[in-house]
Amino acid sequence: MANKNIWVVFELSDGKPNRVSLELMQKAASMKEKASAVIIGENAKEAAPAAFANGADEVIAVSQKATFEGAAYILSQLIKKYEPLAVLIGSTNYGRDLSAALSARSRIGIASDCTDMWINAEGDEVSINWIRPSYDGKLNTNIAVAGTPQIGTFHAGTLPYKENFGGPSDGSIIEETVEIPDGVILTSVLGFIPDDALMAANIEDAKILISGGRGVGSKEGFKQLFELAALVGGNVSGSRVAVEEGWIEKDRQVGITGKTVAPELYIAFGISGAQPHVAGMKESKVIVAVNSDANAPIFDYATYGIVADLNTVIPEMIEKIKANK
Amino acid sequence: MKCLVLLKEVPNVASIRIDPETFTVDRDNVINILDPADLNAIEAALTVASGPDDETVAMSMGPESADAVIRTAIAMGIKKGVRITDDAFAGADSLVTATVLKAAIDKEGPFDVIFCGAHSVDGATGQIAGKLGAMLGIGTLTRASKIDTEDGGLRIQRKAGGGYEELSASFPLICSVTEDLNKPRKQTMKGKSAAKKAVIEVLTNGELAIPADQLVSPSRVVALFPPMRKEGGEELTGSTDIEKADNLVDVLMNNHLI
Ligand SMILES: Cc1cc2nc3c(=O)[nH]c(=O)nc-3n(C[C@H](O)[C@H](O)[C@H](O)COP(=O)(O)OP(=O)(O)OC[C@H]3O[C@@H](n4cnc5c(N)ncnc54)[C@H](O)[C@@H]3O)c2cc1C
Ligand SMILES: Nc1ncnc2c1ncn2[C@@H]1O[C@H](COP(=O)(O)O)[C@@H](O)[C@H]1O
Repeated sequence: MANKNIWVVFELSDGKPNRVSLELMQKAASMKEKASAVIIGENAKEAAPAAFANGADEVIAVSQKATFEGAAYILSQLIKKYEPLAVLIGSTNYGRDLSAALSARSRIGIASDCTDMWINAEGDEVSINWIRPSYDGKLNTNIAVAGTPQIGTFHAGTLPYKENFGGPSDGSIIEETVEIPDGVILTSVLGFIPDDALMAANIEDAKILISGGRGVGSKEGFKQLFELAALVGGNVSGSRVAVEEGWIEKDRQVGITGKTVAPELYIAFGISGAQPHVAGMKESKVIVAVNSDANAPIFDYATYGIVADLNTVIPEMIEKIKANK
Repeated sequence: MKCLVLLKEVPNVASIRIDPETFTVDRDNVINILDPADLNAIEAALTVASGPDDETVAMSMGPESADAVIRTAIAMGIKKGVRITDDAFAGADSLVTATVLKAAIDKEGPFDVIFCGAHSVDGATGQIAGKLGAMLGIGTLTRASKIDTEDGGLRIQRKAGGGYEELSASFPLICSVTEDLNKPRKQTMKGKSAAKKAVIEVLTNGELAIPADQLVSPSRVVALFPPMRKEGGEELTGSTDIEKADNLVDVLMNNHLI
């Protein structure tokens, strides 16, 4: 098997590729093998420039409206024709449903919710290491998948991402159409209902996150975090402990059993930096840790750290920022 | 209405110890529990199939210890329990697990609705609903945090960023649920005694006759290793905590981060 082509399945919203598609594209482009974007959706070609700019060597465009079931069918046909080595898909609602249906339909193996991957190629021998956290993040697992292609899924924010990747603005586009037989599409995707409570807790889209853990100590304590967040135009998140104590809502939890975030600035107040937490925020651009324990593991990940009592630091930060406004 | 709920017995991850020096996994004293979201799946099944003529079945693939989670479901009100086990199923990944469950569903079904958990806490592949949907050729609704019954089918809502996505499908369908969905009911005295007496049907590959080539798991764990620790960044110092806080604000402002 000489084909080492890496595919990235794009997900479009309002015709634009979502962030995880571009993260995966950059990852695929970093692997020295041919990297292709597979774009399925109405006006698929309109998303091709973004694919090239983020490192695609080639775009396969399928300009058809397709929900996850249709897209899984289309991919199962394209895989037979092009025989790629790996298919990378984002762990979004759509991507999870799509990857499961594709894996079952084509009977191909999958490594889900990975945090990294790399290819070992020696001559014609090719294998992929799929890495995912296990045992509560205390250990990483290296998963091998037999056969090709192999599917890997990744959460948004787990892979590094550059704003200006610097790829060319165009390249070769292959256009495909695949007829979807009756009996494939059995699920209706009806639409999206915005929700105020979820919107308020939508930490995944925040540019700045003020995050708190056990060290914050109480629901009262979190009020200061909300005040600081409001001052800098950010949102509030926290560790699982903060959620379990009932200090913040579950939708604000960062980590493997919460959300993966990658804001411009993540400030961790009173968070120790346990692996299950770190897995959900380590790709943040700038990480600040405020912790009274100089040995807290969170400092390993911090761009800036201060060893101090958050009960002194937060009110002082609020005052100083107010004074500078 | 005939309704199936899929149950998975999982180790309580918090009770697994990892040796900090050797990074070996100590599975002694590990307690097994029913995957938390499966309780919500049981509740959903009991709500959707609540009529006197409705049938409810709980099914789990696993060793004898999995009988305990099936009895939990019966104690909550599920009428029948089925356990699937065979040496040939050991070490099944999500593809083989779904293959085996499909064969058992074909044998025990057809079912109008199948409920399962969205994401188990141990393997946490969250693949089972989507795979079974494709294999059975039925509608697939995943990660439900709200369910409405409508004529001939279900409509669900699931969280997506700042809102909910809405999906629907007609019966037969499979639906995976999250812990946001409902509050699982308590076991009743009557249920507990039914659970104690219940005879759990056991299916092996003798009954299911799945060809050997479909029981080879494509994915397997080849190694466990400790996560890498990164180099720390810059420590901002000061003689008091107030000074440190001031330094931090200065650095953040000078770098246009706030
Ligand atoms: C299956 C499973 C999944 C999990 N998933 C997640 C997840 O998604 N997200 C997650 O966050 N966790 C998760 N966890 C839990 C995780 O292992 C840790 O227990 C948790 O992240 C610790 O939270 P913490 O840092 O707030 O608390 P702790 O570890 O208790 O740390 C508190 C920190 O606050 C500091 N501190 C205390 N007082 C002050 C003060 N006055 N000023 C400054 N610093 C102070 C302390 O020095 C300490 O470092 C999971 C666990 C399991 C078993
Ligand atoms: N061995 C099994 N037997 C029965 N149901 C299972 C099994 N494994 C997974 N499931 C179901 O699929 C859900 C998701 O599991 P997973 O794909 O492991 O995250 C679980 O919550 C169960 O409802």
